[in-house]
Amino acid sequence: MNQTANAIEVRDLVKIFGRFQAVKGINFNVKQGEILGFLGPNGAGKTTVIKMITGLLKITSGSVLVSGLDTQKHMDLIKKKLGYMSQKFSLYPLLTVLENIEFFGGISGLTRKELREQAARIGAQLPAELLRQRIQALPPGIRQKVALFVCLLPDPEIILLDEPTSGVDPEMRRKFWNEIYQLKKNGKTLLVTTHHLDEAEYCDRVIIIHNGEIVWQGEPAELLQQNRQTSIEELFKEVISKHGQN
Amino acid sequence: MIRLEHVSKSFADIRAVNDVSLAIKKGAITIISGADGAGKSTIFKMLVGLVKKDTGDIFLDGENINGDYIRITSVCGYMPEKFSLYVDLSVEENLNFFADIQQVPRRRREELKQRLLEKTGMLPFKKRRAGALSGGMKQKLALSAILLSSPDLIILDEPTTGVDPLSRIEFFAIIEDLKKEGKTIVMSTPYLDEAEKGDFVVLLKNGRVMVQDSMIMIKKTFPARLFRILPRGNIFEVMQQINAFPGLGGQVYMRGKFIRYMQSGPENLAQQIPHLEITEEKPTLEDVYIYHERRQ
Amino acid sequence: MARIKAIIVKEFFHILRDPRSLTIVFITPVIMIFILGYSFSFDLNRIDAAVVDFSQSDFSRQLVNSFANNRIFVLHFPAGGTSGKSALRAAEEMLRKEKIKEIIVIPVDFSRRLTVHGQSDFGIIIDASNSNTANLVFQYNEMIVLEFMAEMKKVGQLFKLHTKIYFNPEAKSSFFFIPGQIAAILLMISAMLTSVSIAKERETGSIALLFISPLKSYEIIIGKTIPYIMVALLDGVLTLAFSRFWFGIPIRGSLLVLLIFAVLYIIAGLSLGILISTLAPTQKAAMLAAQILTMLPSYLLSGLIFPIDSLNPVLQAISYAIPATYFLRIIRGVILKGSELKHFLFEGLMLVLLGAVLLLAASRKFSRQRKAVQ
Repeated sequence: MNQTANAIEVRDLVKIFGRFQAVKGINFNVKQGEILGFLGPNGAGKTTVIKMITGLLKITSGSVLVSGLDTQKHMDLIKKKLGYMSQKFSLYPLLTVLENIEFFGGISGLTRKELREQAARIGAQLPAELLRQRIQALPPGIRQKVALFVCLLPDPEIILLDEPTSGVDPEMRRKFWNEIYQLKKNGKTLLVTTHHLDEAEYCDRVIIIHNGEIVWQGEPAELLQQNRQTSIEELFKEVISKHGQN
Repeated sequence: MIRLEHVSKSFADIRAVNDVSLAIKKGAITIISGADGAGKSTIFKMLVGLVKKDTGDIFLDGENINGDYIRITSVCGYMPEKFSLYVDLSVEENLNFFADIQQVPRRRREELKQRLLEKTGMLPFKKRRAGALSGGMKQKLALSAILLSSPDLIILDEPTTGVDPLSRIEFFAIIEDLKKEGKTIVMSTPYLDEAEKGDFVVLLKNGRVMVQDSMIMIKKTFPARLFRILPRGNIFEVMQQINAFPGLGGQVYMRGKFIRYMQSGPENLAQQIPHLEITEEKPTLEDVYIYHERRQ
Repeated sequence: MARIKAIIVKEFFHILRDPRSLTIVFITPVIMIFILGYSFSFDLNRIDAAVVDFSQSDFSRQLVNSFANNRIFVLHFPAGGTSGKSALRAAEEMLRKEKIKEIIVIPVDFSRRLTVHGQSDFGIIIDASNSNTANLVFQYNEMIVLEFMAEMKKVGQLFKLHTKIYFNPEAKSSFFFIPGQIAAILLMISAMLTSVSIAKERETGSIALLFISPLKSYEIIIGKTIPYIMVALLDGVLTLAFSRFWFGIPIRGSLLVLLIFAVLYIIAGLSLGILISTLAPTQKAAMLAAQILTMLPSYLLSGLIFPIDSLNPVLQAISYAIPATYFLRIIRGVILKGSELKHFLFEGLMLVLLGAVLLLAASRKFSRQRKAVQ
């Protein structure tokens, strides 16, 4: 595996809604096999960037390369490499876990056999009785786990997680992160946005975005080593107040 | 200031609040934390009389209120969960409305409004419609509205849930200012890192109190130890190695390039783990929560 | 007073700043009146009839002529000749396809029997899928037969009936239905206004703050009612104007009298809305409940379409508990007959009574809900 290869390259990316510039020409890379944390206040442009990477939103100017392919030209190829799990969307509540898996496996073009193989490969961790339960009956933590499972069905190389741990209780949250590390171990690349500042520490690298610009990026571990007193929260407060508010 | 004794409440078959006794100390910040459905909101609603308790007693300044909720509501400001005032009214119109219904004397009103808007940094947005405010500002406006009646006790039900991190930090700074003015504050939050900032903390699980003490005592009496190591070699292999030790109970977590683990016994595991660096860490409230949850 | 005023002012802000809801409140009734005004018509402008004449005689032709001379009948002569079985089958097919409303069948011996016995039979087959239309068709047929008989006997008419139709000279059903629909719609809008407004506060959580504030329950209710009386009244005036200028329905009586009763009627509707809001958890549920609970009874049980006398006794009893029953009489009376205040003392009293009962029930339920939680 080439350590320096970039899974995602974002170049001079701009998004303008009407007269509002939501993303102001940002540049960053997501290295293959890393966990990149995406932090920022609401409306900073996090989701807008993610939506442009997934092709859900048209790019105003600049470019996004996923595995070296331009999203504006090869979206069909890229779609097979990307997994996307949004915080808002957590499966169909009235369908069972199995029915959800079959549905999403079906729409991602897997045959029944492939689906079963995938299910066996990724998720021996889902107990059999869980499969028969309806999504609405599950606690948020388990629901997110199933959502992650579903997002992994087509075996994507790059996984975008938009606030995957919102509303999940502490222990489930830590367990969810253990799963994320398992994915990293298997060579996946992850881009994670979060509301929990302490989760920044869980990432290999962190980008703080504010008013459509990147205001800080680096390794959280390094930061904490350099200065034991500084928490991510203080760092966050500092960089954002430096760049002014709204 | 307020004491709950053996308070319970059931909705249909679900015991939302199960024999809860807790104290809210005057002039301090008490934070009630727990997952969704732990009973936080129900406790608050029972305090202000929006939900009728099944059993138990509520005391205000040592006196049993005996169902006379007006005694509590007359000294408290209560901000319900997910509450954001009237979106089609401006900041100022919202404040005027709440001043009217809370019978704030006209003479004092202008000065009070001015002070609150300054305190919350909302002064430039006085004429803006509440619906056009950001999530964090909406919460600040709601807080201002309940502060109009100058309450001694401020009850905030998940004021920062779903609010972005920066606004959360700012919101909490306002709360700390209120404490300095001598107000008593009780709030709930699902974020344990936020609960960490309270003077007193109540951790709830399934309607029961799991832990309740001052933040200082909770940390001081925490019976387990936490270590952060920078492993030598492949982190995943080291993880497996640590996981194999008995007594760690699955409390081993990767944190970027570090591994963090919780250990209850006194033994020195560090020597058996290939590492470049090891540090003992103070427990976070999240560690406390998970520790107690596991013991149950 | 200051607290009630605070709520009233706030409600007006809500009303004026939500142009979408405002549009719905004012445009919906106009659209409803427009559509219902055209579709709710029991007038019959033409009767298509197939003629199957087996007799083919002078007398039968004379009979067919008397149908043809009436402007309402449009005659068809089905293929297969005017006689023979195939013509009858073709006519039946037309009836099935709803191309015609009736078949006139004249038997072979029509002429012979008329000359020999001085009397004869002929048949009419009417499509009675819609019993109302069938009734009208039948009446027109009877009229023609009477005319034909008079002509046959050549005795002339014994007497001629002079009819003068009062209140609705052209006997247009729109004159009858549209005022009724205004009544039904006004009740629906009123109930929706308060129920949705309170359900919205419940949904956003602001009701909790009202509940724990020093506000009295009655203050909340009065504050919530007064602004919407004005909105609903304006709505009523708008629909009246629309019916006057679009459908040409004159208002013969005093508008003032109508509006005075309308206020009583609206208060009953708003109270019903508050009552609904105590049961409906969301705005959507409140809106749906308000629509069903007002529209169904006002359309079916108030006498809007079916006379109350034709209902079964249980439904009749219910109809007397519906505000629309009384306002319907008032609005029809004032608009069509130019009736005055003194004609509606009973109806007015009943509106006051029903309004008071609903308002009382609503405020009791509302404040009990507020207290029940304590």
